[in-house]
Amino acid sequence: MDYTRAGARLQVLLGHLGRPSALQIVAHPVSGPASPANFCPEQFQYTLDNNVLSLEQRKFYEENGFLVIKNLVSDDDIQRFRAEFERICRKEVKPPGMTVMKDVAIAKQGYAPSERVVTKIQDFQQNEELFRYCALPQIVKYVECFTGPNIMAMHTMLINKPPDSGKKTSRHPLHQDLHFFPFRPSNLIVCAWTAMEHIDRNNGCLVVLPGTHKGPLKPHDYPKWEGGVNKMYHGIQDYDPDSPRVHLVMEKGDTVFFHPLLIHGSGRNRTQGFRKAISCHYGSSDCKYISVKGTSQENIAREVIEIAEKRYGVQGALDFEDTWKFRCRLVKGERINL
Amino acid sequence: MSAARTLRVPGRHGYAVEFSPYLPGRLACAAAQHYGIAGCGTLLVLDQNESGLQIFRSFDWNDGLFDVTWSENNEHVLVTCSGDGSLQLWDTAKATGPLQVYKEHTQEVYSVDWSQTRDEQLVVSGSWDQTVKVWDPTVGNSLCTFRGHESVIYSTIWSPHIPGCFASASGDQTLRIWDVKTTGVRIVIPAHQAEILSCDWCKYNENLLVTGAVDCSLRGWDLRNVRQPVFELLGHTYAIRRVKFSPFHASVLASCSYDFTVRFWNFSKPDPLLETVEHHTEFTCGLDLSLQSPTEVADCSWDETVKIYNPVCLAVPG
Repeated sequence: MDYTRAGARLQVLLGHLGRPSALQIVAHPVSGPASPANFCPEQFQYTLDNNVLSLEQRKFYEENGFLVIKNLVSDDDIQRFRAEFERICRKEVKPPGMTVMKDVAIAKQGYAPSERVVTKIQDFQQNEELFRYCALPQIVKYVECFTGPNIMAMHTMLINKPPDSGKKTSRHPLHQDLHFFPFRPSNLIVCAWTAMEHIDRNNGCLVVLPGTHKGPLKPHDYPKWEGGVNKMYHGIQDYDPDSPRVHLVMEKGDTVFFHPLLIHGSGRNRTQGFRKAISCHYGSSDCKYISVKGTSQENIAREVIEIAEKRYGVQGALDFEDTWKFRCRLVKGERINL
Repeated sequence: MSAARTLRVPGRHGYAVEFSPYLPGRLACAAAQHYGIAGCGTLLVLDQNESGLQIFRSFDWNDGLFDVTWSENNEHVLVTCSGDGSLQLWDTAKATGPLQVYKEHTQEVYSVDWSQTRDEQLVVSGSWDQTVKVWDPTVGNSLCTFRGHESVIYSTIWSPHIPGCFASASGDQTLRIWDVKTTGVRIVIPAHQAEILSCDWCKYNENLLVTGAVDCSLRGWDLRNVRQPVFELLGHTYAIRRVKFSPFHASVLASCSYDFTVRFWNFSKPDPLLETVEHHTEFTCGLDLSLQSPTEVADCSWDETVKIYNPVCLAVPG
């Protein structure tokens, strides 16, 4: 037999021994200051017991898979993040591991390096100014409600949605972020997404399908959109076009937390200005990497490996898990598995 | 409880035990060397007689055997599944085997179940490769592969009521219901905030299932409204490795655990725990309730023993 499997089996079995018991119902004296969540008969599956979310907020996230917190990030912090983004666009700052992405239509027009060309920065964990976003205490305290105390920044983005060139490439197809992630369980992963200006349907706000976090991960691939679609913008292949959807109009500093299985996307930017948002996907460091071979995630894994091999100059030595271990960064608590 | 009839199988750690649906007193045990971490496996076919439990037949396999299921159309035939990703078909009427090996899963197969509905003869297998496969035992290749689970699959069980319908339990914390006639999952239930190691269908209510998980709880699920469990049973102190509904009492079920115990429950009672059996000294992984006798139970454990006994609580139903 294969002795590498022995280690895998032992790890699975040890995992069976490590989980805490199901929450016992705890009685409180009626005159005491009891948390109302303890008296709620519902089962909570997507949030952990905490002192931050109100019962209504917790129920909303459990039911819908997302939660908007108004005015969570200050104007000053947002201005600092914008300034750092502009330095990155002018190539004054080049942190390791970061990906700078350009719109598929604009890249063909040969602009000089500037904000006009860059549509997205990914994996800025090693940029200390932008990583400050991931570690903002007011964000981390909410993240802990979903991940628990050991928090990793797994995937970060600063999105600069350009004015649509008329080819609609600024749309992001409906997708589930878990398609991109080879770690589980999904309920210990959460995205924080902060508007860096007023965002509505004119400049391409987030659109979500409430409750879809309760469903399975669906197969993703490039949609057959006329005019093309940007690199790695995989979308769900089959979804019900009549599903109810919610457009999240957000003010600068508003932050939405959402589950990695929540189906979401964004529309095109019909205005002449750029639309900016900054986001981080957090996972509990208790999560474990999984093999995506033979699953619907294999296409994105292959694409990510190709990109990583170009960047790090190695051929055939990387797998999807390695690409993640290079990039993720501890935010709070202890680094365990990820 | 009368004294358990015990068979010791040195060097083999029991993973699953199942009573024959045909022959009273016959049962099968799937076992593995070195606690199933490495080494080979053995299928033990046991007979119960006046002098106790005896080995009727023993078959070896080159990797650990993790589950076993009896055929529903031939009293001599069984299927096991193993750590090398294969399933094996055995015939107890022959001294050597297996008759056939089905090799498609790419990782450990932890669950195998033969459909009881008799409309068709199908076997379902669940694997750590995150897939479920459905097989016709007379054909070498699987008929269909079901994808959707996001972690290892620990248990796959046919509905005893609805042909072509089965449930699966997984480390992704979901219980899923599938229909062979459609390739997609029909229901996804985020049943626990922990890995789910076992599930079973109620024999008297086609909408009711139970899950047993690493969080030490058992939860009952009514498929018509999966927002809340219809019952929760607490008391085990480590992961619940297997759970079985009684064939004779609609609201009675049994569970075995890494806490070494087997517990019997009646979920319709205000105090649902009926009895705790503490006759093992290691993780207890295999459990089955007899179809021929309302009080007879078999279990097996990593302590290298297989036991048959009659717990008191099953003698006085209610």
